[in-house]
Amino acid sequence: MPLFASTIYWHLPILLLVVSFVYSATRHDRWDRILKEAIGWIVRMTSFLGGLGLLLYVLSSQPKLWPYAVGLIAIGTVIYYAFTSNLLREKKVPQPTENPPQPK
Amino acid sequence: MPPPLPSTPEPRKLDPFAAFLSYLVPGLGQVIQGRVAKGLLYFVCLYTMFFYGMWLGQWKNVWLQDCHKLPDMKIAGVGLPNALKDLSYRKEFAGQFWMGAAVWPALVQYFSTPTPDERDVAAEKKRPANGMLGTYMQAPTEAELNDLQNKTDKRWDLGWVYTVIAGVLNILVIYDALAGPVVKDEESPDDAAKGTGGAA
Repeated sequence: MPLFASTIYWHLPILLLVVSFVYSATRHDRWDRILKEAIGWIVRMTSFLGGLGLLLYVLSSQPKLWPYAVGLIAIGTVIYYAFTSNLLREKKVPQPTENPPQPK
Repeated sequence: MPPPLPSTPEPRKLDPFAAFLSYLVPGLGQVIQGRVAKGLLYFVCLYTMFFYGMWLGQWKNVWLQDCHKLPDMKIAGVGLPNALKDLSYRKEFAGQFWMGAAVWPALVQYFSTPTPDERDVAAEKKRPANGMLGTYMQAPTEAELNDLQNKTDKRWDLGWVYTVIAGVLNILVIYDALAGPVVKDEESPDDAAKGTGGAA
C-alpha cells in the first residue's frame, strides 16, 4: 500500500500546529519566544513521527533492508536532537550586577 | 561586605475570574486581561481543533451517555453515583468538558433527552429532536455507533481524540489566565526550570 494512501494522516498537521502554538503560548508572553518554541516543537514532533512512520514503512515493504533503516533512523535522531536543542537554546546575555565588586 | 542575598520572586497574582472566562470560551480571559492577540490565538486554535474533530467524527463524538442499565462502577468498594458512573463509561467527556460552553449542549441533552429505555429505540428511525438543539451532541444509539465504526474509516476515532486534546489544552489556557505564562518575560526558561520564578 502506498505510504500516503491512508488519508487519516493528512489530518495530523492541524494537530501539530495547534498543540505547538497553544503549548508555547502558555509558556511565554513574548511573541518572538512563542514562535521560536512553537517552531521547535513542530520540527521535533514532525521529525519524530515522520521518522517513525518511515521506519515502519521500510520494515513492512522491504524487510531485508531493516539494518539500513535502523542505522538511518539512528543518524537522523542524532541530527534532529542536535538541531532542535540548538534551536530551543536561549542565548544568555550577561546581566549587570547590582553590586559590582569594589576595588580594594 | 557580605554578598547580597538573592531576591525572592514576588508571588503571582491569581485571576480566578479570567480563568473562569477562559473556561467558558478559550482565550476570553486573556482578552479581558488585555492580552488580546494571545486570547485570539487560543480561541482560533482550540475552536478550530475542537470543531475539526467533531467534523471528522460526523458530529457524533461529543456526548454523555446514560448508562444506568450498565453494571455499577465501584472504587475501593464504594459505588459511584449515577453521573460519575456514566462518566466512567464515557471517559472521553472528562477531557472534552474543559472546552466550556461549547460542550454544554451535551449536558443539556444528557439531562433532558429521554433515555433509550423510555423510548422505543428499535422502532424509531431517527433519534428524537430535543428542542432547538435537535440531536446535536445527543448520545447516538448503539446501531449508529456500529455503523460509524464499521462503514467508515478511522476518522471517527481520530475525531474524538482531537476533541479530547482540544479540551485538555484548554486546561493550560485556563491556567495561563489564572496565573500568567509559565516563564515571565524578564526571566529565562532556565530559571523557570529551576523553579526560581515559575508558576505560583
